[in-house]
Amino acid sequence: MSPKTLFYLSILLINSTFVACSIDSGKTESSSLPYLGRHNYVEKTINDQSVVDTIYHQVSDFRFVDQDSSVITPSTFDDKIYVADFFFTSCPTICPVMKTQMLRVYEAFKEEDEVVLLSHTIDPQHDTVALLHDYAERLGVSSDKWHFVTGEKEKIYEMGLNSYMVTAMEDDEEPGGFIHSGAFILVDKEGHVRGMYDGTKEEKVDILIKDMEKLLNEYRNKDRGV
Amino acid sequence: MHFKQYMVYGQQLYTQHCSNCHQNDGSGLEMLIPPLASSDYMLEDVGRTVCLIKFGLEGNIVVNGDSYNHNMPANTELTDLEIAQITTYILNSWDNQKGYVSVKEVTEHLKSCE
Repeated sequence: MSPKTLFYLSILLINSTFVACSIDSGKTESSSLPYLGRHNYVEKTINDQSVVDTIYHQVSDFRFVDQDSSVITPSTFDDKIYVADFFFTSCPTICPVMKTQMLRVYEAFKEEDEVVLLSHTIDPQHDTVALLHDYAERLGVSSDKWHFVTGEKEKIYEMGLNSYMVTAMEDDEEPGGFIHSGAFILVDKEGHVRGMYDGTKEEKVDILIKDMEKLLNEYRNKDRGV
Repeated sequence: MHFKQYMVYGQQLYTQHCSNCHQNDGSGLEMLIPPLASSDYMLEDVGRTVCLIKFGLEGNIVVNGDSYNHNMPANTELTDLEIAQITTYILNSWDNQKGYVSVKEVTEHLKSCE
């Protein structure tokens, strides 16, 4: 199977999984974005009544280093929504397309303090801090807005799989030696995954940009007590 | 006659093999991936361009006064005809006007790649 086919298959699989499990996970407002991933249900007793609480899937704790050698943890994203993806600088296939599309997201929210972007390298051995710095510089993007992070390989792969629900790993069969999904993952201020988008398709990224605006508006309305 | 046909097939092949990095409009990607539109580096040496399509490129190059240093993968699976079509397309799109490149020329160039 060609990398492209594999990649689209994985996207397809991811999407169908979510269709199956996000039907009952969205909040009741039709306008709000769904909560994706596996949720836990906890039974509580309030006033002798048994109530079931939903614990939404949450991105787990992490500690990575970005292109400026700054330590990046969930607290970096306090009071911010962010978009995550996985790539490597020497990637010969879908990465340049993903970066072209992520640049569109970057431009759309350049002046918006509550939006940050997070690109993980899946080739930490090759993609050093210095190399990521050069890469970001050549893309012409600012470090506090778009973090390119590296760290322990296993931790990065595990974050992909368990937190962001995408494939990211070594694969000798693939051009460039790695297989990774081309998904952009939208994470809200509480660390919940609120959307997944094919980062290689302009029209899907248009939807991501609209969804990000929607999410930001929800927070603004909440702050105003609407 | 050949020229028009090459332009049509060349565009299809370009979309499939090249546009991921160099974009549909040949603009490249910021300072990471060089442009092909009005690219002095590409236009000044057709033989070199043919060779790097087939065998890729490593190291630093200067395009229109800007330096780029991002490896280009090889495309050894492409036939001489396909390379002739791609080369014809990129040398005659986006304001480039270098004229038709034949299969014969491509085969000759590929013999002397470094």
